[in-house]
This record gives sequence, C-alpha cells and structure tokens, in this order.
Amino acid sequence: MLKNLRGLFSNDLSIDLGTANTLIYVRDQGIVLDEPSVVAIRVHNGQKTIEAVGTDAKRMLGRTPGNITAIRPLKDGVIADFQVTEKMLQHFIAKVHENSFIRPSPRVLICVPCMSTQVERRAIRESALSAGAREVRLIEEPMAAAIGAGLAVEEANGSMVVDVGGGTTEIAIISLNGVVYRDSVRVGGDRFDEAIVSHVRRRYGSLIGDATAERIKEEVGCAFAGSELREIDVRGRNLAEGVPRSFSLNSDEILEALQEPLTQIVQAVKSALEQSPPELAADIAESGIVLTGGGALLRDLDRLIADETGLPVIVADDPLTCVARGGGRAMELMDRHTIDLLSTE
Amino acid sequence: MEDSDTKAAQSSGAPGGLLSAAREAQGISQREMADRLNWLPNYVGAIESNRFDQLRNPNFGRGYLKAYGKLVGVSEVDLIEAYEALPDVDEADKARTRRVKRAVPQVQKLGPAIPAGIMAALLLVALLWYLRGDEAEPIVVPAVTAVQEAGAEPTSPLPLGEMTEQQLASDAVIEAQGLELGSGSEPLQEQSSEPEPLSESTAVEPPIQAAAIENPAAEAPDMLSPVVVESGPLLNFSFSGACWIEIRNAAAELIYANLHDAGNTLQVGGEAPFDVLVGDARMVTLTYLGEAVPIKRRPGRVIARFTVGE
Repeated sequence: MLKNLRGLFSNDLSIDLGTANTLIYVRDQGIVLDEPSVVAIRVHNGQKTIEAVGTDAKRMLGRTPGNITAIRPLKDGVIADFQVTEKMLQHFIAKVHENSFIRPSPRVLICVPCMSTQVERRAIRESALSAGAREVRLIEEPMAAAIGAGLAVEEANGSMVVDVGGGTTEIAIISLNGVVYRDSVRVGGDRFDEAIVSHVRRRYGSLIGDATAERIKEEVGCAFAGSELREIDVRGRNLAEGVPRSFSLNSDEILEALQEPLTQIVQAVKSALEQSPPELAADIAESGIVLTGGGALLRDLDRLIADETGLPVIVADDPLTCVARGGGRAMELMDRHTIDLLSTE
Repeated sequence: MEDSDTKAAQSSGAPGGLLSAAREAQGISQREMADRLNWLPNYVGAIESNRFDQLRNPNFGRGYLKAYGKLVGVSEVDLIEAYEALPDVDEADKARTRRVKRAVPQVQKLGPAIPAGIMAALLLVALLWYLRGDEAEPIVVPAVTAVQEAGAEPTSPLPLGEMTEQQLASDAVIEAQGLELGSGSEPLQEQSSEPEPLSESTAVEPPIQAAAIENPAAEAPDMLSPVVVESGPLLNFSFSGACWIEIRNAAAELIYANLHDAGNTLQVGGEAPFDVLVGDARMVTLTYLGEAVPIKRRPGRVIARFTVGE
C-alpha cells in the first residue's frame, strides 16, 4: 500500500540497463539520466559502502587506492553482481526523483538482452524491485531499439535492427509486434576497447587503460577501409622501460585492431539474413538495416555492413538513446492498447 | 517530371537539392548513386525531390539523408537543418530526437504549498489506516476476562472441527450466557438477544464477546483446563493471564476458539500445521511435541498470529 502511495509521486521510467551506460527515460520528459554503469565501493573495517555511482565512479576506474574498488556490475548485458546492481539502480532512481520529498516507487520498464536466460531476467527484475520499483516490466532490447528508431513494428513488414551495445550486439528481425528472429553476440563497445588495448600492447609494447582505449575508439576508430585517415597522440606505460611514453595511432591501425570483433558482428548479421523468411528478407532489402546503440557511432560501421551485405544501412537518430526512448514509447503503447510487447520474464 | 522536381528542390535549398547538386558536381548518375548506397533506384530520385512519403518507411528520412550526404560529402548538420525546415516534416518527427537534459520532477511543478498539503493529507490517511488496522485485530475484551476466573468449571471442550460456524457461534453465546461475572465486575444492564447466523468464520468472535458483556447472569466456569480436542500432535498452552485464542488446522478450519484466564491450560490436537491467533502473547506459553515454542509478536503489539508444526 505504501508503495502505491509513493507511486503517486514517482514517474514511470524506462531503463536501458546497459553494460557500459545506463539511460533513463521519463515519459513526457525524455532522457533524464545517462551515466556509466559503474559503482565505486569503499571497504572500511570489512564494511562495504558505496563511494560513488555513475560518472563520478567512472572517473575512478583504474585510479583507485587499495580500499576503493570501481566495478561494473553488469557484464555482457546481464547482472554480474546483484547487490551492486541493486544499489546502482537505487541511486539512479533516486537521482531521477531527487527533488521529490518522499522515497520514489516508480513503475519501471527495463530492457534486457534478447538471448538472456530466465535466471538472468529474474535477477534484473528482482534487482529493480529491491531498488524500490513497485512494478517491473521487461522488454527485449532489439524490440525497444526498433520502436525507438521509429520502425513500424506493428505492421506486417519485416524490419531488421542491429543494436551494438557495450557488452553485446543484438540482432533481431521484427514484424507484427513480435521478434521473428533474434540473435545476440557477446561483442560490443567493450570488446572494441579490449582489442585496441591489446593492439597497442603488441605493436608499441605499451599499456593503456580502458578509458584511453575508449577515447581512441571515439576519435580515430573506424570500421571501413575507405574512411578518411585520422591520427591521435596517446600516452601509455612502456612495458619494457616502465615509464610513460607518447606515441601516435592512426585510424588504419585501429581498423586492423578492430577486425576480429567487427567480423563477428558482420557474420551475425549475415547469419540473421540467411535465416530470415524470404518475405521478410525482401522487406529488409527494401527498407534497410537499422543500426542503434553506442557502437553504431563507430565511424563507418554502417558502410561496412552495407558493403558486406549489399543492403541499405541506416544509423538511427541518436542511436545511444534509442533503446531507452523505445522502452518509454513501448510503455505508453502497452498502457494504451494493452498489447504484449514483453517477454514475460 | 522528376528532373523538374529536382531542379525546384535545388533552387529552394531543401536537403534533396543539396544532395543532387553535390552528386551532379561529382558526375554520378542517380542509378550509380542508388547502387553505391544499395538503395532501390527510385529512392534517390524521391529524396532529391524531397518526397519522403514515397519511402517505404518515411521515419527513415533522416537516416537516408545522412547516408547519402556522407557519400557525396555534404555536411550532416546542413542536411538535417534543411530537412527540419521542410513544411511537410511534422513536429513529432522533429521532437523525436530532441533530448531533455534535465528532468523537471512533477512535484516541483506543483509549487511549494501543494506538496505540503498533499503530505499532510497523506499523513492523515496513513494515521487513519493505522488506527483502522488496530481495530481490525481481534481484541480481548476486558469484560470477558472478568467472566472466567481460576477455579471455574471446565467448559465444553469445543471440538469445533466438525461444527458449522453457525453452531459455533450459537454455542459460544450459550456458553457465555451460562457464565457468571466475577465478584470484581459490575453487572451489565441488557440481556443478550438471539445471535444471528454468521456467514464468515472471522465473525465468530463478536457474538461471544458481545454476549458475555451483555449477560449479567452469566456464571464463570471454575476451570477451563485441561481441554483436549481431537487426536494427533498436541499443542499445550498454559495461560498466565486473560487471553483469547483461536486455532485453525491444516485445512484452515477453525478447530478451537475461546477465552482463557490465568492458571488455565489447554491441549488441542489435530492436523498440523496449526495457525494460531492469541489475543495477548505475553500471557501464553506454548509447547509442541515436548518443545517450547517461542511466540513472536510485532513490537508494540500484544496480539500474535503464528504457525506451529510446519
């Protein structure tokens, strides 16, 4: 009963609980929170306390003293640390309602990877309930991404979505409010970063952190051979000498480093096309593949997929927020038409 | 026709015009451009003449423009600005990508006085709810406690398992009518009326209590103990003060309900687990299968409801 009362003062939320970033969309307000899914924990006398969450915690990644650990509680799109995820959600929900004078108890829709198991989905549901949500609904990420990208999911018309997230890449063919084909590969932005770190270590004998690798990816990273050449200066610790050294990286090197994860994504897309029913494949050939997720911002990823598949590829508007926006829209649709866009746990 | 549309678009500075001008400057035909983009051939013409409704999914207008612009080297920003300036582009499409950076909580919009008023109303509701919750709990009526004193005759053992609830209610009333008030209690004014048949099991207790209160001629039994009901594992209660007790068996049937006083003991058997309600947990000790069972109660409450023999 108290939860329902508190619910009167809470907004309905759509949460994209991603490996790299968590986004929260509030109905009629848009995206109100976009923070890294990172939690910093301080251990003092055996007691664990939350030191920082989100952006503040991300700044601490790799820069913490012995008694503080900055961790990512989600791995490959699913919960790796239940308690920390719960605390993180609690923090984010409270932050969205920070001017509210009573503890919020919102209705929450959470986007989950399409190939996540029942156990993983239950963990996400329980985590949100423990974080104070009064009702939790789940939706598969590609469905939310498709709605967020403006695809007509309710029509008898095949649409293909490739959502390149932090931990996973979700591929789905959607028609009539349902997912006809789904696949998920555990390749995403994090794998790109790892590939860059490993390339730098191999080529330059230097060690760089994840944050530097991410900056390199954003500034000079590219996925297609014909792209414009760019350069960046970075600093890393030389493994042989043990001192920091500067060196330059160009986009061709990064392309080479990213070959393996990119190939896996392209293979998954091709495999989806091979297995799609012919009518839907024809629809996709006409309207194209839609790229969403933060990974879609990798320069010329659309050109690579277009080149490999021979199909039009469109990067959705504001691909980073597609899933969260789509979740919010799905929530409205479900309230209005009582249609079932959800996977039931 | 298509060429004239394209020329019109070029002169108006619409996105299609920018793209077609860039394409022509590079000497690429519409067909070639469609091949490079993997588009249907008519899409290039449709976009260059700003006829986005001819696309299979008009929502992809921006996506197509960006892909085309990237290939011919037209700035994405210019294209989107030109696209949004088109009269046909509706507000919903423009708003779709607008991101709100800062949340404005609903409560903030109400102003400071309204939330305070709502808070006060909420507190009132919560208080009423809390008080109502107290009333709903079974209560040990003080007048009834006076009825049963140590040394009173044992009352009927009340094997309630097979009795109907109407029987239970009327028996309880009869029993209460036969009791006598203790010396310390004052006689009440009114005689009890005929009990009405009850429909719900929870309604059993009020007639018992009401009858006991209203009947001045009732005689208190000397002793209520020991009482043995049914067979099976036995619950052994001993009472150090006045306490109402209700016991239900595994099938949720009410097998025993009565008021006991200090010094009474009670043995009840039946099919475990038992759901037990005691009016004053401080006054009861319970043993089950030879072991003492701790009776837990909520802080500040004397009433306890618990299950034994799970």
